[in-house]
Amino acid sequence: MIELAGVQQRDDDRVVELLLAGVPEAHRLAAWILGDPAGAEDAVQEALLRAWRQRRSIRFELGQPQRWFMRIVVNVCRDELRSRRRRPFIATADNSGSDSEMATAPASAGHDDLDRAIARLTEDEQIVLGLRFGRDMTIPQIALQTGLREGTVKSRLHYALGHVKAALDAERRAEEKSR
Amino acid sequence: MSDPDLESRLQSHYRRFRPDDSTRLLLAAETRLDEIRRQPDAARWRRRALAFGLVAAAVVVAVVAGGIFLGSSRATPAASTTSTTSATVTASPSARVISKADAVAALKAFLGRDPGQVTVNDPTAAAGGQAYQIMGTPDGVFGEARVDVSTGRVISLILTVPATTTVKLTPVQAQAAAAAFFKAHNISIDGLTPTVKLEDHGCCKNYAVEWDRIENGVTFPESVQADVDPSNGTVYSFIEYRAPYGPVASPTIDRQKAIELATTASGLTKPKIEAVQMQVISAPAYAGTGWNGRLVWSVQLSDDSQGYVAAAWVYVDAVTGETMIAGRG
Repeated sequence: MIELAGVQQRDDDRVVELLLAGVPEAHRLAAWILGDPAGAEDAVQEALLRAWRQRRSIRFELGQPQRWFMRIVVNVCRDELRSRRRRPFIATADNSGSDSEMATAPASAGHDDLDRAIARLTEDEQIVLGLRFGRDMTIPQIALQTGLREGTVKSRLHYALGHVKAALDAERRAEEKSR
Repeated sequence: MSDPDLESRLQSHYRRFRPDDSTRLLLAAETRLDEIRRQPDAARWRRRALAFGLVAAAVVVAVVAGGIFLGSSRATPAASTTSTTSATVTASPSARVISKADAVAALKAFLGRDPGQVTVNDPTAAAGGQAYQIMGTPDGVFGEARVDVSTGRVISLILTVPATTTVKLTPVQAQAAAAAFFKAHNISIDGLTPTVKLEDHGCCKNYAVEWDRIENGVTFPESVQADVDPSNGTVYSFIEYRAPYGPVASPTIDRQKAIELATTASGLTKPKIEAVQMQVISAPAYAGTGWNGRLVWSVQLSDDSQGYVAAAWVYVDAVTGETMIAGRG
């Protein structure tokens, strides 16, 4: 025999177990980053594929296999956000009109301006914002999850909040003028 | 920048996107992973076929160049004074080259029916010299076959890979089914040692039945392998591989020493021994390295102490103790 058939088989079993165990968390992570539960399902499926293809690199990537998978999820989300930026602006709230959770969101909640402000951020800013305020992660946790230095996370968060605030202020001024 | 109002708005904003149920996604993920895991079967056989083919090609080159055996360089006085085995297999000197049409005809005769639409690729390295690779269509009666260009023999075949988890056959019955298949196709397993293993790929199961040339505890590069459907005994893929080899020197490194050397070379933190065997290696990847034809201890190790399974496969030269990492998983 010139293959590690037995070892690889067990290794693959373990990878499948790891990936399936991570699906609910990956789903939440992707939904918070993308602001789109339906799109999050596609992102998780894509992440599963990528993870499977890269499964032999688990030992090289990280000591924590779950974190390895979640980092792939974040990367898939980054690609999706980038691809969305290349398309004409589409408010995420409009995208998910058929989604039950979105449908039940009160129209008066006033999220539209926030949707637009977040959509204007860079992918990396949207990711830290989703992890901070969606997943409720601390800055060290975000750093661990994304592989960034804590200082970088802090500055991204700082700029993201600043950009969101500026965009909201601009909208408010425009609205006041139109009255 | 800290703006409690904005942060509170953001928290409220993101709360809307929390998926309340991942059950549907989980089921879809299970199905997807099952589908992905089915694919390696065919790929594995292709890899084996390619590897065996290239090994055989290298062997033939050695035979032509050296005149007698592969590894004739091993037959130096010091190494060959004591021999662990007298077994040798020589390569066929035949250089006859059959046409692509002949190859398809050979496959048709082997299958006992028309193979349907096929694509025949130019010959590539294979056991005994070269072989045509014949590809079927996805919905056809076979997936891939290789036909030796010199002998016209079908040396490997993949039929449709079944997706079953039903096991109705015992290992003995699976071995008998494979033996009957080889007998019906005049593929000799005489003098070879069988092993049977039920493989579980999650999505599907199969019996891997393999006959190897093992003499005095040494495994030689001569093997006949089949995959058997455990629900009905159908052989759905096989490979016949026979590489020439010559006399082999007696080992000076014992099993325990080999494990020690392999463990050190592996770099694993807490290595566990998966398998140890002595064999004569011959693989294209080692061409030019001086390792082909050597008698080695093949030591497979794993390590799950880090929260994942790492593996290392180490060759230890059974005469000199030199080590080589053959693979990591």
